[in-house]
Amino acid sequence: MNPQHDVELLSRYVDGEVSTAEQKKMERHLAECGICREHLEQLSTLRDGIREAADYELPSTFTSNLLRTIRLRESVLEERAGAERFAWRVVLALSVLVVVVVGYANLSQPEPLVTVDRVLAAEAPDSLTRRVIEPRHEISKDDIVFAAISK
Amino acid sequence: MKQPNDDLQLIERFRNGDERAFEELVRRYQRQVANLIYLTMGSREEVDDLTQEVFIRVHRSLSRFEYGASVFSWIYRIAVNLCIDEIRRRKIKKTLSLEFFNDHRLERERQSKAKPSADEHTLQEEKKQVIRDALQKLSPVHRQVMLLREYEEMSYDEIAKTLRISTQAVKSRIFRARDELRNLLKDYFKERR
Repeated sequence: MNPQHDVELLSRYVDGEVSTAEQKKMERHLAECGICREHLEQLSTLRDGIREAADYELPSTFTSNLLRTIRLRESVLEERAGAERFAWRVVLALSVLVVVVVGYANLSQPEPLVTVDRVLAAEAPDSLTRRVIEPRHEISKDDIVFAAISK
Repeated sequence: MKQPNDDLQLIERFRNGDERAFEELVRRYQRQVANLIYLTMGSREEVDDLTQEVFIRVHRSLSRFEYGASVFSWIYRIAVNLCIDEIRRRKIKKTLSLEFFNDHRLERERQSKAKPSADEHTLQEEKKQVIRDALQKLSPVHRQVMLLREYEEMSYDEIAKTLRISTQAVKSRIFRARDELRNLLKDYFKERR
């Protein structure tokens, strides 16, 4: 950078981002340098130009429309949350109902009647069969063989 | 940039259930936000909607605002993120020149129909458009610092905090952005002499 035309310092100078020493240095330089004065003028023009270019005006109804939209969105969200809460409650209630019905059905089911026929049908004697039959009478291997032959 | 001291009080009032505090915050910053969006996006079409969306997000997040931060910086970041999302979504970069051309042409047509003799006004509008076009030609990071410095009048430290970059980076970006704009606007400066 040419020390005589310190454009970086000039950029900070126009923003007021310089030390007192830098400010004095720049002011001395500007008093003598037409090029830097012109540069400074351009930076000011640019600043004014940008501020003028920012001329967008929102409609006067902007704030009221915004508040209405926020309220509307909130009520929609609230409704949706309410519907979701209701749906979850229904799901929960149905689940409880299913558990109760299945549990009741299991408990109220009559104990399976295990008879000698089941044994005669060559069904393997499981623990339940044994539990039911054994108190009644002992089944011998001969009984099982006899049942198989008869079948 | 001059920060009203009672921004934080407004937020406190809002957190305590006073909706009018939010309304006041909107009225305070709506014009600045709209113009930042306008100059960032380069088109008038979506400014109202995007500005509205910024404040909807502000409303939604106010309860999470951290008191150490500057309110405007926080709003600005929301606005910038929204613009970035919007630019990505619409792939605006590809059609930017065409949009500008159409936007500008339609606006001139409207003005010439409404005020056929308002040459001075039209000239003024054209000059503003030249500036807006030049800003659009800057890279997004250079455009950001220029808007925060020249339009929002933020100090280098405030810009650094807002953009979460070093003050040195701010200095450098502002200098480069100005240099780029001076080159882009050579004719503009000649006309304004």
